[in-house]
Order: sequence, then structure tokens, then C-alpha cells
Amino acid sequence: MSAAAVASSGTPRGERLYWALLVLPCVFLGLFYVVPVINVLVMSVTVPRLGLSNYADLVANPAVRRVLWTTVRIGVLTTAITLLLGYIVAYALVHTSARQRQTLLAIVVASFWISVLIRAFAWVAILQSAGLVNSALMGLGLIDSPLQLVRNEVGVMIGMVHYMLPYAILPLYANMSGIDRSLVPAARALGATPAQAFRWVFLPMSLPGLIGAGIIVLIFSLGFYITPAILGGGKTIMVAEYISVQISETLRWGLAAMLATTLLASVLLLVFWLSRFMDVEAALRK
Amino acid sequence: MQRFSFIHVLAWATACFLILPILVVIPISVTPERYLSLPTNSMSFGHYANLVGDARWSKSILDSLIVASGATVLSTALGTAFAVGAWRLGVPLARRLRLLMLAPIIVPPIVHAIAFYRAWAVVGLLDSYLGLVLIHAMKGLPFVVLTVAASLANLDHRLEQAARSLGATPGQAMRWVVLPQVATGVVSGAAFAFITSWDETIVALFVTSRRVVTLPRRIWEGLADNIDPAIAALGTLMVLITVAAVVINTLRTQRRTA
Amino acid sequence: MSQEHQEFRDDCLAILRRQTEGKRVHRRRFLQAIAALGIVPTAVRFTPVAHAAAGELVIVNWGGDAVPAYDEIWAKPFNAANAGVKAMINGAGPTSGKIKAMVESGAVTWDVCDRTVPASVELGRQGLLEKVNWSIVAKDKLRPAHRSDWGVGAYLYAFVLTHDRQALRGAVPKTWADFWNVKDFPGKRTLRNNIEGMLEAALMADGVAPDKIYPINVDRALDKIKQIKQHTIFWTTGAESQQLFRNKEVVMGNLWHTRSMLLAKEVGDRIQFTFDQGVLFAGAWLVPKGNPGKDLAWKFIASAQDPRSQVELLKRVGNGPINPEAAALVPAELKVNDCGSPENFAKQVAVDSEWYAEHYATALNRYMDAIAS
Repeated sequence: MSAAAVASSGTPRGERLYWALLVLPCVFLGLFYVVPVINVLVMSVTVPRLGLSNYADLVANPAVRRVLWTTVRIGVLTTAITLLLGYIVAYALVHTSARQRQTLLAIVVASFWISVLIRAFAWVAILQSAGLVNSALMGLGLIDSPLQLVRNEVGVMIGMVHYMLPYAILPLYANMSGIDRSLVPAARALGATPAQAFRWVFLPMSLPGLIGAGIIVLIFSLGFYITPAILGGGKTIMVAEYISVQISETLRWGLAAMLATTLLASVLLLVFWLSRFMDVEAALRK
Repeated sequence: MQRFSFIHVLAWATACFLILPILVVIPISVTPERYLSLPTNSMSFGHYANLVGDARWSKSILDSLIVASGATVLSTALGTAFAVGAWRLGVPLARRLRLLMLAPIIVPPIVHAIAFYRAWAVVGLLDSYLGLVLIHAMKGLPFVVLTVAASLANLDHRLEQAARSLGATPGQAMRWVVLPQVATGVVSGAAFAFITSWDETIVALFVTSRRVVTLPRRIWEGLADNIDPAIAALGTLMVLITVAAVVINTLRTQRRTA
Repeated sequence: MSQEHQEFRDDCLAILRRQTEGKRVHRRRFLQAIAALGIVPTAVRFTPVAHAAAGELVIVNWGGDAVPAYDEIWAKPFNAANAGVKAMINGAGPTSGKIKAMVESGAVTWDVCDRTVPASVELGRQGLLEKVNWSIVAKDKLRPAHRSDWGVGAYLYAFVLTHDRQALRGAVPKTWADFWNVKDFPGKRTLRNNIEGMLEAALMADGVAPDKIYPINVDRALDKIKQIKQHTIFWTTGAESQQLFRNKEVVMGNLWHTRSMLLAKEVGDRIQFTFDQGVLFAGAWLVPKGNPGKDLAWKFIASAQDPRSQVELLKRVGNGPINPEAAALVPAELKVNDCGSPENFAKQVAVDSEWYAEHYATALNRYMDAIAS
């Protein structure tokens, strides 16, 4: 009972402030965002003619299906790798000396500042057959012929994980630094092993941050455009690039709107499902 | 403690992965050539001179700063307001509205481009600072909402009521209890919002033309022809500024603790 | 105290009554102002949409070196010859999508776009372009293939077989069949991430005679492309195609001849290219429907038909002159690289705009799918 009872006992004046805080951004977004975007998404059922013909492509057009599958595959893999690495870095950030933390944070933030375009080209320079990585490996005698590290899915994922890491590290770090630092030692004092203390105390507390970061990374990964276009070498086409070609080159705006709507709908469903899942977590903790 | 040092090794390895492209960008920025390349025999700081001397670059840097600052202020204010409101009220409606807040990062940028082009043409916001600031603020909003919500996740909202019952006004409760708690989230959300605007290419290409020329747009216009190493110089400068800020900050905290 | 309060309120009301009596007009005016506020966006507009001043003319091309080149060769002389006119070059890239968005939203800010003749037919049929005003633009300065109802040929460019002599150790690929021959010419190749010039090359490699290419048999061309897909890197921008050769990532490529020329100039005779079996495209000026510049746009286009200006463009960026009269003005040392010279013209396949206008969208989607699968 407690939470609901306390919430309803709040004074109306206090509540009003928070309602205003909640509603104002929604009105802003509703006016400037929802109206223009819905306007375009509606084209998925009106262009080139009224009906669901664009949606039939989801089933009937193998090219569209392939693009979607590539997108999901790369998106999920990128998210998994990014979250794993990001969690490790964020964990180290809260469990290290102030000096190391500053250096690590500086590196994370500095990597942010490199434009996505130049980053992609830097990765090409690093990963191409005559690039740094291959030259180093061949110089060490570890490989005989250059590895194919770029212009394929491997290259796309390296570039995407690199781009997404700060987006995972910073919210995870924000969340973890809000976790009471005495909890883990307390659990240890009560006889838990380090692994147990982590699994039962730290991990559940960091779960909201993990899910939040996961949502950002997955959503971003599904909509990536510039990185796959440059590092994928035309052989890896993700849905955002495909939509872009339909809008800019082939002028099939109905198809583009359909794909955008599909992308939006699936991500909304996913987030909706995750937020329910988070609720369960929150309820269990209380 | 053995386990922790293993984690630290992994974290530092990831950090090396993060700076690897920066280590490549720095030499590229001193290439004497007109295209992206590693300098072989000679070095040149011509691309740095271009950033200052070439009016087109300096205008673009200024434009990007104007747009990104405006967008950051707007999206940080709105995003924090929403996250705090949703946290304090805790109603199911708030959770559903959160999905609406996330929409700008879900919809592919090219769809935004068409949507805003059509809408801004109607209200006359095409090729204006305000028009681009509004768009970038909306694109930054989800990050602020997510990061602030994440930093509130471990804060019991009865704390705020406790402060109120001790006599604090809603505004005071907010200032003393809520805002200190979300500070990290707000700062990282603001950083995301700034970067989102700073790096946003595709919508800017559509809705601006002559008055507003942000950096990514400036880079893009030369892209098909030659990727100007000036962007490597700019990236290097941004990294140096970040490092300088961190060093100053470290020195300040050290002096305070000493 | 409560009585005082009462009196005060009554007094206020009395004052209010006095002020509004006989001043209904003001109130109505206030209501009108409120109503106006509601439609502020459309009525007042935050900024002017189209051109600030009459006489401004925006010519949009693809950026880079072409911006200063067009400016000096065409915009500046045009401004000098027409008082009060301010033509300017913008490198924003006039994609079909942006032209469509502009025209459909009624906010056209571009007057002249630098595209191709096939694109002019494709977009023109969708009602996105103004029909050419042939009373201002000279029809007889263009070969029939280099003009359409909506497009005026601007310059010529070609997709050509380019190779790295060093990397191939003296073996010289002469035809697209050689390009497809991975046994005698080992190494990576590069093709464009778009059908233009690529489907034609694939068909020639498959034995189709150059004059029998159109209508393109897309299935056959894609099957051929799939054969060398694993040996191929696909380029998107011209800069990328150049970078691939600079970094020695590829031994051969199907590039824009302007890029091959730049490469040859930059790295010496290591890089060679041939116009044999090249695929010749015509760049074209087109005018979006509802453009603000009106006849001024056609005047500008007519001025760009001057053969001397086209030879200047050849000197600066390598695009071939499209006006047949220009051939006589090309300096001897540039003739080899002029894709529009009579000798080079004869070696190449001229693009069928009609085929592209009808099939570009479908074929492009199929091509993308073929290289991604």
C-alpha cells in the first residue's frame, strides 16, 4: 500500500507543480514533433495509393526482409557488445581512484567529440587491408594475409560499438554513482562472496541504468546511417540507409514511410515491454 | 580484490579502443595533403590555419555553437522537467508519455528531414537558427529524459515528501532534494544533447540552406569531392579542449583537498 | 476588514465597468489580436521562406571544387553581364528527394539544379520540374540526346575502366571482360554503389554489343555483377573511389573519368584509364517547379551554353564540354582527356535517358539488394 497512499497524500499545490513539469514537455513535443512526423508516417498508407500495399512488401519483398533482418542482427549484436563493455567501464569508473576516474571520463568524453564522419574514415584507415591493425598483426607474424576487417559486418559493428560506447557508459555511470557505496561491503560483511554481493546487490541496483542504456543503444543501432554506409562498403545495408535511398533517390516515399513506421512501431513495442519489465523489477525491490 | 583489477584491465582496454581513432585523427590533422591521409614525410598546420582563416569554417563553428547551445538549454530544461515530474507523480500515464519522449531517437533521421522540411515550410522556419534549434532540442530531449530518469531510479520519491512535511515549499524541495540528486544525470544528458546537435547532419542538410551552415553540413558539402582534413584538425582541437578542461578541473579539486 | 475588502472590490468593478462602457471596439480589437496570434505562424512567418531580394539566383551543385569553379566560370560573368542580378553557387547536393520535398511544400529556394538528363526526364514526368523555355535556351547548341523537355545538357562525364599499372604488373585490362576476369587480373576491384554505368559495364563484360545495351536486361547484368561481388569493394562518393586507389586497396575500378584524371595527376602514371567502352552521361541543368527565379534561371542556363565557358570547366575540373562547337576550342593537350571529343565520343556508350527514367528506381533497389545479399 505504502507508495500509493503516500503519493495521494501529497498536497495539491505540490502535485500541480509536477504535473506542469510533466505536461509542458509533452505539449512542446506534441506540437513541434508529433504533428510533422505523423504527417509523414501517414504516407505509408496513402502513397502511392490509399491502402496497405506498402505493408505487403514486408512479406512479399525479399529485399525489404533482408534489410530488416540485417538491421535487427547488427543492432542486437552491437547492443550486447556495447552494454558489456560499457558496464565494465562504468563499474571501473565508480570503483577506482579519483585520478583514474578523471582520466577514464576524459577519454570517454574526448571520443565523443570526433565527428561521426571522421571517425568512420579513421576506422577505415585503421582496419583496411593495408591499415594499422593488419600491418601490426602481419609485422608480428601472427597472420600471413590481411584480415577482412572492414567493408563488411565486422567493420560496421566495430564502428557502431565505438560510436555507442559513451552513450552506454555515461548513463550507466550516472546510475551506478547513485548506488549506496556501503551496500556491497554490508553484503560482504553478512557473508556473501564478492560474486554474490555483486549479483544480489549491485546488479539489481544497476539494472535500471542498464535497461536505460540498452534502450538508447538498441534504438540508435537500429537507426544507424552514416557508419554502416561508410564501413559497410555497400554490402551491409541497414534500414536507415535503405529508407534514405527511397527518399532521396528512388522517390518511393510510401515505402520509406512504411519502413519508418515499422521501425517506430517495433521499437515502441520493445520499449513498452521493457518498461513493464522494469516495473516488475521495481516492485520486487520494494 | 583480484577480480576488481581484472575489471580494471578490461576497462582500460576498452578505453584504448575508444581513443584509437583519436590517435589516428591527430596525425591526419597535420597532413600536408588536401585529403584525409597520414603524413609521410612532412607535416603542415595549414588545416588549423584554415579553421581560423577560412571564413566559411569559422562561420560554421559559430553556427554550430549557437544551435547546439540553444538546443542543449531547451532540451535539458524540458527533459529534466519531464523526468522529475514523471518520477514524482509515478502514474501509469507518465510511463506511457515516456514513450512519446523517446520517439525522436527512434524515428530515422531521414524521416525527420522530410517531416520538418514540410512543417517548417508552412510556419516559415526553414533556414533559421530557431528552426534548427527546435529540431535539435527535440532530438536531444530523449537523452536528457533517459539519463535523468536513470539517476532518479535509485531515489525514493518519499524523500521529497519528507522534505515537504518538514516545511519546505515545492520549489525548495526541488532545489534541495531533487536537483542535487539528478545533477549527474542532467550534466550527462546535456552532454548528449549538445553532441547530438553538434553532430547532426541529415536534418540540417534539409532544413537549412544559406543563412545557417552548421559544421556537419559544411563537412558534408565537401564530402563527395574531398574529405577536408580540417575536420581532423577540428576534432583534435575539441579533444584538446576536453583534456584541458579535465586537467583544470583536476588541479582545482586537488587544491581544494590540499 | 471584510467590509473594507468588499468596498474595494466594488470599486474595482465600478472602474472596470466605466472603462469598458462605450469602448467595446477595444475589446473587439483585442479579440482580433488574439485570433491573429493563433495564426501568427502562417500570417507573419518567422523568416521569409524564399529569396530575400529579387534578382537572387541560387544554383545548386554537389559541392567541393565545383563550387568555386562554377562560381568563377558561370556565376561571376553572369552577374557582371546582368545588373542587379546575384547568382550564387550552393553545394548542398540537389537530390531528387530534396527537390520533391521543396516542390511539394511550395517552399522552393533553388532556381537551377545540377543533375543529369535521365534525372530530368524522371523528375519531369512526376511534375517536379519546369519545362525548358526553349525561346531563351538554345536548342541547337545541344545534341538531341543531351536535352529533354525538362533538362538542358550542361557537361559530359563518363564511367571509365581505370587500373593500377604497378599493382597489375604490366597486364593491361582493355575491356569490361578483362575487368571481370579475376584469373588473369587478380586483385580487388571497385564498382559504384549505384547502377549508373555499372549495369552497362556488366552487360558488355557478358558479351552484349555496345549498341545493344538498351533496354538493359537487369537480371543478366545483376547475375554478372554477382560473379565478381566477392572481389569487389563498392564506392559511394568520388572521394572514396580515389582513396581506394591511393591506398592501393584495389587494382581496377569503374570510376568517373574526372576522378581517374585527378588520380593520374596525383600519383603519376601508375594510374591509367581508357575511354574504350566507357559509359557517357550528360549532366543537365534543371529548374524545380515553382522556382522563384523564373526566366532568370533559363537566362543563366543559356549563358552556360557558351562553348568557351565549357572549355574552362574542362580545364578546371575535367567535365567534358557538351556544346559540339566547343570541340574546336579544346587545347591539344586536353583533347585526350575530353570525354566529349569526337574520337572519345565514338568509343563510348551513350546513355539512354528514356530507359533510366522508366527503370531507375526499380533497378537501383534490385542492385542494392544484389550486392547486399
